[in-house]
Amino acid sequence: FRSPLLWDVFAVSTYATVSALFWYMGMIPDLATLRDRAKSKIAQFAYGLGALGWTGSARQWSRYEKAYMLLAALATPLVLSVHTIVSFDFAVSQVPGWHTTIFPPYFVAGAVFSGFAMVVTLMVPARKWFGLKDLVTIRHLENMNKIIIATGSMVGFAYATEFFIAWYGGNGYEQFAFINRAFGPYAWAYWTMISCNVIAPQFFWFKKVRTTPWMMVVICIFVNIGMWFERFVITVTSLSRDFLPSSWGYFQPTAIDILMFLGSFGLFFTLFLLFCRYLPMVAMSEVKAIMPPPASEDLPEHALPKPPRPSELQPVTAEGASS
Amino acid sequence: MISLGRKPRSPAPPESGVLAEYRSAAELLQAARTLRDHGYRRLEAFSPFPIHGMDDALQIRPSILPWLVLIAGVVGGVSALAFQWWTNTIDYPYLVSGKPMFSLPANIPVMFEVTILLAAFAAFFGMLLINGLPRLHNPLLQNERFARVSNDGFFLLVAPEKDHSPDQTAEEVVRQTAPVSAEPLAPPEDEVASIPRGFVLTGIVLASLAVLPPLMITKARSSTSDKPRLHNFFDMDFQPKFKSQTASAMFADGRSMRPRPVGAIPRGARSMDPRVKYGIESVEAIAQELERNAGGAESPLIAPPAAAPELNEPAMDNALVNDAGTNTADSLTPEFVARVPVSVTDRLMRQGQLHFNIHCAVCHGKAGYGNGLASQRALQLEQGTWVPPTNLHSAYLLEQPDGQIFNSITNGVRKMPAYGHQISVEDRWAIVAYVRALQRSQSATIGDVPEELRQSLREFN
Repeated sequence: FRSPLLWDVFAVSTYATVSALFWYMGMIPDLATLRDRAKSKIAQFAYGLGALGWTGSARQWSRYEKAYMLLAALATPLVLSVHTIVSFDFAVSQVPGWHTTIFPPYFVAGAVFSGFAMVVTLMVPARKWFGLKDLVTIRHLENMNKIIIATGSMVGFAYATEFFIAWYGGNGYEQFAFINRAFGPYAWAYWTMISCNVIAPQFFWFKKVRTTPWMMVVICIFVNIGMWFERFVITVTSLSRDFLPSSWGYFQPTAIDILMFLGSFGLFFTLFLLFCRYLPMVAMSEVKAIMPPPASEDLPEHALPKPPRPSELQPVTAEGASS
Repeated sequence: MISLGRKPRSPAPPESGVLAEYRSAAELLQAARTLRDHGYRRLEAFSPFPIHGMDDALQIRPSILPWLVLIAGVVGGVSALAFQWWTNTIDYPYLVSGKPMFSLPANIPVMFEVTILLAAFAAFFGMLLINGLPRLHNPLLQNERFARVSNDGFFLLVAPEKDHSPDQTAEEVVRQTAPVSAEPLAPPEDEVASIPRGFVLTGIVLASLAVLPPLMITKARSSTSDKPRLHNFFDMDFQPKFKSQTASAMFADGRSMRPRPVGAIPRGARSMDPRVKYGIESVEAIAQELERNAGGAESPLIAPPAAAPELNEPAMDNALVNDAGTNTADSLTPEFVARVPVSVTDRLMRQGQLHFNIHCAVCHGKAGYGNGLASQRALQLEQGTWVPPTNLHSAYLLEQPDGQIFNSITNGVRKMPAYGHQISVEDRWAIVAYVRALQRSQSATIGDVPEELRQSLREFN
């Protein structure tokens, strides 16, 4: 119980379990809707199984709302804890470039950053193809982009702080690790990371960029690439120059590494598309709750809630759906 | 959890009665209030989304769910902490670098995660339990109109009161509230809903497949096989490397651990004064001694007698091993240097204290009485193999020349291992100087204390 690897097991599996529960719980009333609207007997039974016999009675709603609120409150600190504990895997070790106290906040900011970017990347095409433009408005996307620029700047600040501490700390190994990171054999990866993560989101200072769907998708894809390189830079550059010169080397991915990478994309998009096809993408009951009765005046668009994040596979599921 | 069922809850949700449909949430709320005011308390409203104010209209008491979540969270946190404490200190105590067996900060991450996990389970499963879910066949769901409830229907179910009779029947009151429709709902029958055939088949197939892996494991564990075991990661199970203390066909002497080649000089060790390097006055005497004994020596290391002792370090090192039981070492009586051959400064003494506390104190104790933590633990285990470390204040040690103590650190003595390979020459001399200071401190009199400090010492007493 005194190893970060074990903490990691607890943190990640708890996070996955609670996120899955939260995601499923949000769908129960909507699955009941699908059950009641299903045409075929099989679909009706399958959705009925998922809806667990939901009737929408006032008592059920009362407890459901309470439980959903509690779950949201529990999931929020979990977002902080999971990224903090994952960063302990690195920060608790002795390897230069990993052994820093800035890692926990830096990983949390990075996770929010990449999570929002991923959601924007997926949501912009989804709202276009599925006709959700009135539910997910430009205003929502613009606000997300503002969070991206804020967290992106935090991440950039963390990169700078790491260098400052390496210099200010006066530790020769640490200094070497960082100089090697920026100017060594992996400089290409480092500067890719910097330009994608720190420079690209700065374009969101322009309102035109923040509100034009294709531009934000391009920037968010850059952010996704940059965050992938961040993990690559942290993991590979430190390990390629550790304390034993005999273990110095240059990382070369094996065929298995490359196939795993492609496979993870495949798995994600398969599940994502299955989700879009068979399960409710938008929390219908929440939208209905604030929808005006047919006869009365329309409410302004921004009164609509944001839909939950489209998939449980993304790191920000919990805090996204609770907002 | 069981006590939940027994807890009196007022009023119980009805299962049958009059089912009325309304156009909007507002009308439903109004109707619920009207019925309540007429004395009907067994009401239930159904809507596609939560309606605010409905809890009050139906007299639904606040759920005990938050308390359940709190209890589950506390149970999770406390049991995670207790479990970690029990495994670390009672069930499998394992001392790592003298750290405490139980340290709270390291246990916080797991504690936190288990707290949240159990609280989240309580929120989710508690909600299902209190709501009586999952309930896969419900008479309400058989009603054709009622299917709209999860879509855009607003329904109210009124059950006739049992213990008292209001002035108007339920039907009459409902009719006053102007519903879209109203119809009686029969009490629930125990009717099993039919499950589509495909689901039954899939379920049976999956259930049978799920039994297979446990069966295969059971068979493998209870029978023997003449096939070699599978190696999923062959290059992890068989790594191309030599392990210590194993044989190697590659080298002439058959050892996989390689001795230092003759003539190799470690980095930084070149042209050091032999008095500093070995703690002896003259290397020539040792070299001659080695040469004389070379014929009878069994160790291949000492076999080639060297003319220049500087070039034959392994032999030199070996020759100085104390009490090692080899022919050569017994016959050698080197003349050790009497005093530390480097300049003893305040810095050196502090360095000595640091390295003594790192390397020596675990066995010899911080004051040198041979009562370090490792020794205490070993004696406590009573395994019978432990030789207690030497008390550094023993009379014979007080008389030994500094060079001999240096040699003991370098090459080990009796069961004490050699530290020459892991403590630098300078640090070894620093330790010797510190040991001397320790010895002095334990046999000192007031006369040894400088005049100006005696008064403060007396006050301290």
